[in-house]
Amino acid sequence: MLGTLAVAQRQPAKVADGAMQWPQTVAQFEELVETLQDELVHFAFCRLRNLPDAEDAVQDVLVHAYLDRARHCAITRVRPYLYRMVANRATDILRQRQRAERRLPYPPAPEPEPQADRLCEIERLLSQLPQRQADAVRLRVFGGLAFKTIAEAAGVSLPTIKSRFRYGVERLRGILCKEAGR
Amino acid sequence: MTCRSARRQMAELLDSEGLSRQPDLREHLADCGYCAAEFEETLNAVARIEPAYHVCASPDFKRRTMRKLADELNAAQTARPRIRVTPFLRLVLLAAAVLAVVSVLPYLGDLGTNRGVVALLAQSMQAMNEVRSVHIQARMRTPRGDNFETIGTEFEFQPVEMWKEFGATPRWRVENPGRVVVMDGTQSILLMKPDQVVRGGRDSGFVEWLRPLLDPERVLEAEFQAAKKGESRAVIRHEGPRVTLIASRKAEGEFFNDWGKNRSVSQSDHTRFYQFDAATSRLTGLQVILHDGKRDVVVFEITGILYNEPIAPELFTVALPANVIGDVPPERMPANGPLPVTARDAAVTFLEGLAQRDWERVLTVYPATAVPESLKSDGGGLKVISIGEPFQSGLYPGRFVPYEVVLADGTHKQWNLAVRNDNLAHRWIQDGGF
Repeated sequence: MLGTLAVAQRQPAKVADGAMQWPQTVAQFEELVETLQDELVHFAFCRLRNLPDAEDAVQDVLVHAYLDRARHCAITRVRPYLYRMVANRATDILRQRQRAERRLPYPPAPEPEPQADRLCEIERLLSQLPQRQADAVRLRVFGGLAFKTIAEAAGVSLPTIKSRFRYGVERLRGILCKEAGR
Repeated sequence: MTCRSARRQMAELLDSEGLSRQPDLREHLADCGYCAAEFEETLNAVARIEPAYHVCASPDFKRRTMRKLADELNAAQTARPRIRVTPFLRLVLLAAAVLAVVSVLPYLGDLGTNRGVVALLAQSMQAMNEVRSVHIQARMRTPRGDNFETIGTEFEFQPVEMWKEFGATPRWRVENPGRVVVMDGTQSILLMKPDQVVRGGRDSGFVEWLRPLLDPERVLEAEFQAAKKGESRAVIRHEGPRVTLIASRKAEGEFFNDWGKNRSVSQSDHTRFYQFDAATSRLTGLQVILHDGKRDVVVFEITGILYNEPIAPELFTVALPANVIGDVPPERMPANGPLPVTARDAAVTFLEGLAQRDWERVLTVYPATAVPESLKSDGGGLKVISIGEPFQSGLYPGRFVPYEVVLADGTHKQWNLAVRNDNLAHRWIQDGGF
């Protein structure tokens, strides 16, 4: 209707090595959502144990990733950063839940998910690990990320992430042995 | 491999990228029962924390996410917090701009070695810091009533007038015979005479390439930055009471088809001649000369600039007619029937809708609350002769679709319809060219 001649769109977000750049256009954003929505929602779900909360968390992260696109335009691999952002958002939501539970003696229970009990048990085990080890284990087991990608997400070196994962699993084994012997 | 190093490397077998590696470790596990048992325990521990199955995002997750993004972008457009540009802050910004330009002088070739450049820039910015308002009268070769972007050597000059009031809340107005844009400090309103209106934020692109002229103190800085990026070649000449900055630029965009070439200043090979008063360092003139390969034609020129002229507050308002037709964001446009899935479909929907005077169908691709009477009278009942294949040209992000029609009054028309779908809903909309 306006007859304007707008600036040409940039190229699609996919780059040669299969990594995805931070989206700079709506088309790139849509491609990113299409590509990563299932794995990010699954990752958030494993922590939050509730699909609507998981989808809300991922939606928040994706939208803010686009709104802050100018700050991140130099990042060539967006996936690790999104995992870290989803992990942080999930932690925030869990803290909000805990605060709400403290305020309300009988909070309304969220809709139970079919595998909520198992996820509850998993979270109980992981919560006994040091935070950083638990984060590395979650990103590897829930997110299926390679150690290299987890290292990028955590902003540490590859050997550090390998160590965190190894010590985390060793500690987990210890907890399981102890509980089996009870 | 020792048992100790095997246990240290065991976790690597659990890496998605480590499955095919570690042949020594695999060999050791095959030979060492103790380490094999350790590895099995590790696998069992990891299996205990693996979710039973994978969940997927809901089928409408993407749609909801795009919707949320649209809402956020709309909210950001209308409610972005303002920075109050106090006189002191303005001076600071100008000083920063001078420093920025000085820092790039070594990269500017002829322009960078011109010793008067820095002085001119600093003086110009200082001079403009004392400016309270600017009123620019200009003329531009463009179709009468068209937007502020389209140019063409074949068109007659049309008047363009611009006003800007500086201060803590800058306001401006740009007007040509067919359109008025007013930015009242908080939002922009584009009135396409007589009855269509589009609203936007403070920085909406309604006046396109003319926008920098509303900040004359930024003109020099912008040209220096363009020269630094290699987008232009620029020289400065001191000629008595005048200083002239000459900047030559190549056409921007990809011209797979040359339809868009020379249809806007940005999409043409052109030279800009800026003039500054040597005494006051204020911008006093601009001429844009288009080079189409055969001849050089002036397509835009400033005919007068007045500084610090009192501007009536009413100028920064726009009186809208009672039955004004508003714009509709593509994601909120009605879907009265199947939506076009290609650029050509959009052109067919638009032209056949006009041919049949089926205004509901036209509104499927025309992003407005109603079809304007001018479009109804010009296009209603037309006869479609042909609709061609879409093509891209220049900077335009959409497609051009060639068409040939005979209007109801017998006029034969052959042109290209501009359609685009670079919106959040990916709806094809008619964007011009009728």
